[in-house]
Amino acid sequence: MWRRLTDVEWDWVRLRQEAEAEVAGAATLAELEEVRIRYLGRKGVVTRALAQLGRLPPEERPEFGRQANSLRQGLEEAVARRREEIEREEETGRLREEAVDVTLPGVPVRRGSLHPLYWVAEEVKRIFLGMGYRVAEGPEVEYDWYNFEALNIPRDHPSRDAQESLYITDDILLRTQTSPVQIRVMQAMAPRLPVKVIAPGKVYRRDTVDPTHSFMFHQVEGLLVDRGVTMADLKGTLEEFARRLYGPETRVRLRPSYFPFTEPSAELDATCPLCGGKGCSTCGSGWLEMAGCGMVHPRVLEVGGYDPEEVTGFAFGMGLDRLTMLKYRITDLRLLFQNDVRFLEQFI
Amino acid sequence: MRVPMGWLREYVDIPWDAGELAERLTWAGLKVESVEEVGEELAGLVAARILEIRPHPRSSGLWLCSLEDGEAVRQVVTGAPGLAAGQVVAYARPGAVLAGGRRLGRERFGGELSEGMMLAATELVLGEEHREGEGVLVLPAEVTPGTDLVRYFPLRDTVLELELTVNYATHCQSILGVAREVAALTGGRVRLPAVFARDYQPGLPAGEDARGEAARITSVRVEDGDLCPRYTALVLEDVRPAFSPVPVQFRLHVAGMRPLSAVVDVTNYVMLELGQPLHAFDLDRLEERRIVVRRARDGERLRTLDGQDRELDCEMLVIADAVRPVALAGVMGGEETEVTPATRRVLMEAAWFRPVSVRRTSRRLGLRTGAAARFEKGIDPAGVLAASRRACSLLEEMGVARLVSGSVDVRPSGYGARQAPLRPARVGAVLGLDIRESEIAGALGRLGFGVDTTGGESWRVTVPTWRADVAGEIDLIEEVARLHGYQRIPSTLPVGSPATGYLTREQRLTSRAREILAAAGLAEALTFSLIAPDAFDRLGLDGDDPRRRALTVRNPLSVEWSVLRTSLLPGLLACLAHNQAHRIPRAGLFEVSAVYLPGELPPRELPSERLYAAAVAYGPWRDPHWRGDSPEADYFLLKGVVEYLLDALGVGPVEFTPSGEPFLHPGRQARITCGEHLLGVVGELHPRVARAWDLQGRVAACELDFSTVLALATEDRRYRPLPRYPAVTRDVAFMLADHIPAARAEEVIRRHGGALLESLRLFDVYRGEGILPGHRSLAYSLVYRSPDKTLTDREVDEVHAGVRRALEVELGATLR
Repeated sequence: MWRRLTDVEWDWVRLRQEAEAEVAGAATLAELEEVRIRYLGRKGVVTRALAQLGRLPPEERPEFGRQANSLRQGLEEAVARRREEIEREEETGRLREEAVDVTLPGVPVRRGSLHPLYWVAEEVKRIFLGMGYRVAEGPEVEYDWYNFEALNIPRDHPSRDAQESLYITDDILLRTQTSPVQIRVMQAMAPRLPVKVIAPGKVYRRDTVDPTHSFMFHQVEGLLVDRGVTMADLKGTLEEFARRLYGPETRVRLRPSYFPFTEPSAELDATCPLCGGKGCSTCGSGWLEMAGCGMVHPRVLEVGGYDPEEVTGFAFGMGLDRLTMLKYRITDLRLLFQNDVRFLEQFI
Repeated sequence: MRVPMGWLREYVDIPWDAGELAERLTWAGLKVESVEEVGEELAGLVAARILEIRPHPRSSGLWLCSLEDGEAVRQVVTGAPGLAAGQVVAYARPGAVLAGGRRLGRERFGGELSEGMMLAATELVLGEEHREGEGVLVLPAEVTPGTDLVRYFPLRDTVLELELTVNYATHCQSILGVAREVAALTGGRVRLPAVFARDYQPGLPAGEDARGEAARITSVRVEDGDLCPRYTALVLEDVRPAFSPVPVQFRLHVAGMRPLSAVVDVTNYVMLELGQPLHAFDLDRLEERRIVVRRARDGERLRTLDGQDRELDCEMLVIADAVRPVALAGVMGGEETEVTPATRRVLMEAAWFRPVSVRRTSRRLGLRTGAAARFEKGIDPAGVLAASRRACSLLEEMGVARLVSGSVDVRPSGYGARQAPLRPARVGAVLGLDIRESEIAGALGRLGFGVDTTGGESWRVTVPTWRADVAGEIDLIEEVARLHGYQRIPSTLPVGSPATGYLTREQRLTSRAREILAAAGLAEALTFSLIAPDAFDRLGLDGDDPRRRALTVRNPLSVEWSVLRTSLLPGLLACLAHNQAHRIPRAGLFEVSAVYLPGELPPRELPSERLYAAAVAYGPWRDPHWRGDSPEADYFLLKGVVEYLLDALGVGPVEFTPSGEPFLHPGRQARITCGEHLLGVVGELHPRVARAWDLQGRVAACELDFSTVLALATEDRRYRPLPRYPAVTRDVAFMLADHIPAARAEEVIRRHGGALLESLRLFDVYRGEGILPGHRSLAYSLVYRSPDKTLTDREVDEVHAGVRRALEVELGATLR
């Protein structure tokens, strides 16, 4: 016993060297486990050595115990370290195998889209909502009275020529403009103030379909009736609108024009957003017509139920199709109605 | 309206070039569309003296002329009669360019060289073949050979093309009218033709004046004074056939009218010049040589100057003689009484017809003429007779007629300057600018308005008779605005009553629905509200299907677009077909838009405009991909979209039950209901209907009454607490007869699952081995959970066993 124990004393160093070499040499978790069991398992070398502790003379026990425990602890740490190493290596290998060709296409999402006119109409609405306007609606199939007579355009008025209408009966037609909504809104609101609405919608004229015309197109009407509304307010409002739509550098100007239901009447031009007003192939002069507008005619205010001595108002109308074509540089109006998905899906 | 600047300068001094004039007129409300140089192409047109003239040696009827043109002596072969040596004529040298760009050269006629050609006025002015009876243009003998005729007459001018708005068309459809505008802008004065200025009658009462020789020769009776407030006649004698002088022809041509004979040309010339339409009758062809202004009798006919036989009705005002209509009042004359080379006496008509009457006649007959365009906007009643005298004096100057003394002037209504009130303070208040009273009065004064400021706060403004468009204060404010300058109106923002902008619930939800449908993978389409009348047949709708009750446009441009849709599907299917025709492998479209549902037909009231939402799709739902292909658009894919939409709008519970729409696949369509509300239908297109739209393959379609959906929708969302206890999942698979819908099984499961059944999901449908014919196997995954404790297996087993038993007992299902 003595002998052996003295031998063992000498052996601690060799044992540790051998065991650590085996731990380091384990290539897989399974091999490592084998090594661990051989030394640290229930019947392992270290375990067995410790089991002999009781048979040693008492004075040798502390030293023996210290040596054995140190060996066990050292080996356990070595095994844990090695396990972590092997796991990392194995994971790295697995991930390497899972590598994909990242240039392959992604799984396609079915892409829906909203019509370009929707985007533009939403933008227009957002701007005017921010200025305190509400969004009004009116019927597309309308009485001649609302579409014309109430707007100061009697049966034989020459301006009916310019707007050849699609009629259902003598008295009912497809509205040629969004302006009849002015009358409907005023009649519903009177005598409350202010009347402050925009009215986007479809309008119809007896036109053949070509790159710049269609029998159906879209306008947005605007109306403000209140005490003390001026033509300068009209200009300022549309200037504000144009700047939010086209950018803060945009300038506007009012040019004399004629509409039976406004007086004075004007065309509002804005500097072309494409060239910034320098002149380009789209605008020519640097200016683009943006809206027909004017001060609500006193007779129209009266029809709407307001006293033109008490209140004034301004109104404007814009072509949404034109705004859309300009925004997206669309050169053929027909594309808006053809509904070719190769076109529509561009407006995601 | 075309305005030659050379002509305009006769009436007013213009301190600006054409570009600046155009700019200033545009800013004053007379939009100048374009500025055109006329006659720039002309070259080689000169005066030439005939040195010698002799018969052509070989061709009878032709002559050889030797001409001296200031450069050389040239030979011209001509067929023109009546030429003599010593005359100075209009000549186009070889290489000359005529109006319209025709270039002349050297030719041979019967072997004789002909260099260039001698010109008749028509050739010189229009560059066109000379008119019948028109000879070579002979110039005064003192004109030096070689004189450039383009400068001599001149034959060159700058033309402004005005696009007149309706209001300015009243007074600006003439050179005089535009000259008045220019004078208002420059502060200058208008120069009127002397005769016109002398005979201008600013105001006259109603009455009849028949004076002098004219009154002995003819008479005028106006039977309808409402439509014709003034009719005047002058008489010309010793009329001889002639062509107008070159300057008159040139101006007519440049203004866009065709020169004809001297008499007709002068009536047109004066109309362009002064805005007063005139008509010349061959007096001796008028029955009893008198005029009756009356309404036509129904069925009366008139052959107008354009050679058309026209049937008249009692809405039309005509000029008649003792027995028959001879002209459409204010629109066009009749062929039988027109001035011809044989005419010796002319009755010159100048009248004031009411705009409405002229407009109605002109529209009804589809006859647009310069005269009608002026009458229907309103002419200047004060210048009627004066303009007629101006025309007659021009004819006298030309030596083609003699004006007899006196005139006939019948005025059922008088006329005179009207008055309008103007509060000067109102001008600034409406325009939103600071403007001095002197500026207001000045602007109106320059436009010819008389301003009486003695009222202080309220002025009296006298409106000139040529301003039929100005009636009230607001019209005067506009006049001030345009003369003062729209550019001077500042930009301000309204400072009025407070207002908040918001969208209504329906507007918000409609936008949301469109975004949801786009998020579901569909492309938003925009189709025409009008469809073809055969669309309902193509859908295979029954004869009494309510969707056939549609409004029809009375005057469509194309029958393809003539019926107001009662469904969005025809329009969408046509667009789908467009995509297929372009070999696009897959397409899915949706639209949320109005349909038009009439009440009674024909309608006396407006239709109900209901919002519908529809979607159509064909082809693989997604693009083919290397990870595997996608399902084809079919009933279930669109059903999924509908469920997503309704869920997002808070509409439910929703049921899908078999339906019988004729345009859908009989076995693949469902009615969508929520409680007792019918929301719409979803399915696959019947192959017959697909063929009718040239669509290939399976097409899925759905349509919802979106107005009803909106009414049921809610924006309310309530938080549901997250579960605190674990769930237990149990599957059940069973064989069920085909005639029992899955929805029945689900209903049984839910009922017996009771409060503990949190959710169920169908995860397999199986037919084939082990399944009886006429049956299928359904496999559901059921999730049980209690809100207040962890369920034990025993508790779950008990409920689940109840579910299984119920499936067997209530549905005859065979558990697997």
